[in-house]
Amino acid sequence: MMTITKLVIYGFGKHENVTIDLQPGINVLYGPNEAGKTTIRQFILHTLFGFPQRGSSLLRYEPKSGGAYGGQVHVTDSEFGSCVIERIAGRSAGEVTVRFQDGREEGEEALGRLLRGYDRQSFESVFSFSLLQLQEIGRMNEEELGQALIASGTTGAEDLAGFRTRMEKEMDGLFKKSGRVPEMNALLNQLKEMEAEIGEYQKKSEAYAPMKKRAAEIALRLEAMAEEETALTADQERLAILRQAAPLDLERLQAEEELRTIGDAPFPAEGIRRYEALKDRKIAATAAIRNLQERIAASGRELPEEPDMERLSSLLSVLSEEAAWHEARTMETGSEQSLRELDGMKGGLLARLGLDDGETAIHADASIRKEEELHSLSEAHDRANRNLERLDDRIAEKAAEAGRIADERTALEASGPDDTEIEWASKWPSLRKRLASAEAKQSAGKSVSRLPLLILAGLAALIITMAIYSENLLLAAAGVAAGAAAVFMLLKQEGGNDALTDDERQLLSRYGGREEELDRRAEQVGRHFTELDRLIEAEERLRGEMTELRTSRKTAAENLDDTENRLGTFLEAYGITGRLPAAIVPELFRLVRDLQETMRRIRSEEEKRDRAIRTAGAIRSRAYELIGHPVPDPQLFSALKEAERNLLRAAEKREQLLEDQKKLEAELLEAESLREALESEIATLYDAAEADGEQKFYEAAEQAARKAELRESLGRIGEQLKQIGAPGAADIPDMEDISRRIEKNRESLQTLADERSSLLKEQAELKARMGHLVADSAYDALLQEFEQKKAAFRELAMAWAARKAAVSAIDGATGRLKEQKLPDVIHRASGWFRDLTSGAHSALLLTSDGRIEAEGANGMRFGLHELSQATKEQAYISMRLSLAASLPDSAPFPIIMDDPFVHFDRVRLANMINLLEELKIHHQFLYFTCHREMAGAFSEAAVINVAGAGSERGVLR
Amino acid sequence: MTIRFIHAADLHLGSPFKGFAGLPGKMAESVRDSTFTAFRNLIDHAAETRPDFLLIAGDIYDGEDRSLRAQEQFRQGMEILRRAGVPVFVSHGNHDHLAGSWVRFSLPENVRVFGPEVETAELTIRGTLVKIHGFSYPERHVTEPVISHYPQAEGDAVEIGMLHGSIRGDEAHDVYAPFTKDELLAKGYDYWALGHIHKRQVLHEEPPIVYPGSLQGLHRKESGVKGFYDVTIGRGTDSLEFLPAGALVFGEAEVDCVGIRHADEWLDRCMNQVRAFREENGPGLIDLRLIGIDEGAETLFGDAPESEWLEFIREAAMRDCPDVGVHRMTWERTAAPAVPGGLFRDVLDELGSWDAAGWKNRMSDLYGHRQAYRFTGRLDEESIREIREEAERLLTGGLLKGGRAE
Repeated sequence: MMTITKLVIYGFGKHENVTIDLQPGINVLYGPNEAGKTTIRQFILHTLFGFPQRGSSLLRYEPKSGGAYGGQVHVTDSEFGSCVIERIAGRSAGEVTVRFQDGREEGEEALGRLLRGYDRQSFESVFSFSLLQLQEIGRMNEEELGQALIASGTTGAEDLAGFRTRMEKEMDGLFKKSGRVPEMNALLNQLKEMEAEIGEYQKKSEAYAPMKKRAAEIALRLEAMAEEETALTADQERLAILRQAAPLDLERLQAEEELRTIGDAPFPAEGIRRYEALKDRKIAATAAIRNLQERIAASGRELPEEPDMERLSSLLSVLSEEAAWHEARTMETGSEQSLRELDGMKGGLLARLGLDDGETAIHADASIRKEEELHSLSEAHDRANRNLERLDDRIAEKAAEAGRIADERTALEASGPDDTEIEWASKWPSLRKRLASAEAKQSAGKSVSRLPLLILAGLAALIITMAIYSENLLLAAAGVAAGAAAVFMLLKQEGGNDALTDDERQLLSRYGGREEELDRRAEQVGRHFTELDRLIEAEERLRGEMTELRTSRKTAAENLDDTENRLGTFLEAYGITGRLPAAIVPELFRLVRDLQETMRRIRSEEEKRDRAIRTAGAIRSRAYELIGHPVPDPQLFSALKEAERNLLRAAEKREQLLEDQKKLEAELLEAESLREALESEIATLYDAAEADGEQKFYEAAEQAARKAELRESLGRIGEQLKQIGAPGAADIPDMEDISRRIEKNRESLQTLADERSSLLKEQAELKARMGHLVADSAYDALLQEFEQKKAAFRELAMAWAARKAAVSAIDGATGRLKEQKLPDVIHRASGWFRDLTSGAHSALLLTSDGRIEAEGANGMRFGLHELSQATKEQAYISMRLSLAASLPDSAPFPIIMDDPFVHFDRVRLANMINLLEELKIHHQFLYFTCHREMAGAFSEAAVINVAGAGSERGVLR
Repeated sequence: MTIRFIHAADLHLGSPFKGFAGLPGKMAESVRDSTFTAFRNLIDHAAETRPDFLLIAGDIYDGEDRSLRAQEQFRQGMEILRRAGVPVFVSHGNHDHLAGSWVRFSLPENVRVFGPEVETAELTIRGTLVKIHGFSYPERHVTEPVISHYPQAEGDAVEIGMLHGSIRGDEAHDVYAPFTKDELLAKGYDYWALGHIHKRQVLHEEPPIVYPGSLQGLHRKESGVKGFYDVTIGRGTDSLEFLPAGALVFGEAEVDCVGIRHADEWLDRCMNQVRAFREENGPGLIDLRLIGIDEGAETLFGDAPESEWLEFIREAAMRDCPDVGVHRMTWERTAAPAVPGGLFRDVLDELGSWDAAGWKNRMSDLYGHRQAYRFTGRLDEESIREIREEAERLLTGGLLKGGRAE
């Protein structure tokens, strides 16, 4: 049993800091309207089951004044002991703490256990009811009652029926007994199909054994065929041999026949080869003989005549004079050379001597005495010559001096004063005097300056000086003139000028003051003429000297001519004519001497040359004779030598040819004997072949060859027959038979080959198919998939089964509830209803169609809705209490009532109170009422006054 | 003198994997080929290390539906060993018994297949006589204890018994050629090469009695690393080395969801587990169990249906570890919601109150369906338990979820 011992309200609706102590059994909470009774009831429910969601139909009762929200509900539980359930503001349902006796603090979980899993709805449907709920009782029927009952028995938020429906739906989705669509049905179909497929695979696998058997058969058959084939092939080979042997045999017979025909045909061994070799050699020998004969004849023709030994010795003797020949030639050449040189010298000398021919000179006397004579002549000539020259020199000197002086005079004349000047100068002295007199006249007032006169004098002096320097006579004359002028002027001035005439005044104005200057000019002219006089005098002196000198020279020239003439005379003795300078005469003399020497040497060389020409001429003529024709000198001896060589060679050749001839004759002899021997051998061969000529011999040879061929052929045939392994000659069947048999065998072999190829093909196919079966992993894959599907199916089966079990369990439990508990509840409620109505109603009954009816005392039955309101309420309360009573262990909760008895009359109220008194040992009752009389109605009830203000602090009593 | 051999069993070549649905294509392929891959691993190891011989204690093939390919693969493997000079001893088991009608491939001469009666093969290895006793299942079921037909060891040779069967009293498997450990030990053999049980186990150490387990996990329940034993026996020097051969490993991992608020955190944790699995086992399939689901995680998971979360993690795994498939995911709530009294409790009580017949009745629509029944599997205790748990999950989820306030 659970008992609420205390309520501590922190703040809830109008209540704030309120503590209410409750006791076990019945608690009456009395208060007038608006006192907060309902609030307290809601506080209990809210605290136990959580504050309602904001916006839900239920009020949250949050304090309007703010402050703490929530509070504690203290309970004592027969199973859990004392606990404090505290719920305060937190998440929307509030934060809950459950404190156990042992101090543990837990949350919602523990509260859930404490409340036995009941939620508010379930709780309210059994343990909390109000007048309002009772008034709706008219609608109550079995269904609702049953639902209420079930609801009171379950705890989840989800309704059991809904859960059941969901489960069934899920089951339907999984599996239906005769469905196709549900997952498991579909899977089932797949599984069936896969089973079939597996069966197919197994069947395929079963084919493996027959295939294996067939493969073995094929192998066996192939083996047998191989044997058969071997036998046939062997027969074929034998037949092939026979076929080969048959023509050979025929050939053998023919050869034997021919041999017999040929008979005995003697022929020497290798007769033909030997014969032909002999024949060849004989032909060769004959040819050699002919050749030798020809060569002998030819060499006879070629043989030269015997050589001339006399000529040879002559040649040798001439050849021995080769040195002498060359010497003579050299000498001749050398002499010619010398002569040419000497001739040149001679020419040169003659030319120098100026002679056309030197006959005179050559034969002239050139002795020392003559030379002495010449010498004295030459000296005399020299002296005369020198004298003349000295005179010439002095004449030239004088002429030069005269020239110089003439030049000086010309220069002086050129630079001298002109005629005007000279004239003025000649006048000046008179003018001077006039001037001076004029000045003197003038000197009354003024003095006459003598300055111009002085200047003139100076000037004259200067000009004379210059003339002297420059040897210019004219200048000197000018100087002199100037001087003279100056002097004149001086005199004139002194003459005076006593009275100045116009002329004087004119004079004064013209020359006044310039006397000195004009003096100088007059002096200059004077000096010029002085110089000129000096030069004329010098010229005169020179002319006299020249005349003297020319006379001396004439004498000297005559002397020279004389000496020259004497020299000419001397030279004429030597053939030299004409006047020659005396100086070269000794030279000429010496040249004459040289010429004479040269001439002597020419003569000697000419002798030498003539000697050499003679010697060479002798040799040459002999040589020409020996050679047979003239030859130019340079080739003379080579021609001689050639002639000698030719001569010697001809001799040699002749000797050689004679030797050859001897040898050839010997060879010829030998060849002839060889030919004879060969001929005899050929004859022997003919004899051996019994032939009398070459024709016969060849015929015999042919026969012998044919015989050998036939014999060889026979041997070969025999060999071949032996080789191909043919049986004895008698066993060889005819060709036709052989061919027939071969054809037959070939056909058999073909058949076998065909069969084998088809068998091999089959075998390969079998192998491939068997290999595929053996390697095929698809079967394993299929099995695996099948197993996976099976596993999946099983999992689904499990899901289905679990749902099925859950549904069955729900059905079982609810069924039992309805079948067992409901009658119990109704039975108990029926009793209490009877008691409450004091027997006016005897019972509550469950009709067969599931409605609840009340049975009157008289046995009449009424539907619940047919009862009076109070009676209806009494029936309902009976049911509620009966339900609560049926759950003492699973739901031992307090029963909270909100003035449900207001419609009850005294008797029934008393009955009701009695019932509650009876039940209070199993349940705590919290009875909220606004009727004061109810507070005293219970015998042992705790009465709590819920204050009108509701907000006062402290404990309510 | 020591003898070295390899002991393998339960190859189930070509056997499809059972119990996996919705594998991505690539995974499905490697899953499909995994028995062959595992077999190749075995052959490669044998060809490379050349043991004295190889023992295969039954179930080379999965059954009548064995594929030709499987047989060809086996023949090829044997051919490789023939070339390597490794003799092979085969005793067929219940899955590949001798009575089958399938085609028989001729095996190379290094393979000795035991006949339907217990017989002894002898061979001499480096001067030591080795006797191998065994038989092949003549038909699908051999329920008699064939152990009694095995000869007693004579002590002059190394003796090895090959037996495909289950220990007596093992209820988990149908009883095949049952035996007890004592019976085996009583024969005095040096080694018992067992087959049939897919879970690897060493029943006895000296002498060794060994189930090598299947070569490759074949069902999602056959989790863990699979392989074969490389055995060396000799005077006191027995050694068993287990070598992994499986191409894929099935396993599960827990993902702690405490404190998770965002999907990426959760994804990270899941992928860490997937990677750790990959690290430890190589390629495989993994079931993820989500634990430590607190209120926050619950809120997160409430955003989407569970199938979507699975798809989400599968896609991530495909990207990151393409050879590890996430097979399924289970949510394990730390604190189940309080089960209230009243009708809900009644419903749960009702669910728990049915007996086998009751279940069969209720499930007959499906489990009794003339076509479906073959694929649902039998409605045995195990599946009833699973169905009940799932139904409870549904009911709890459907009826208890959500706030209590209106």
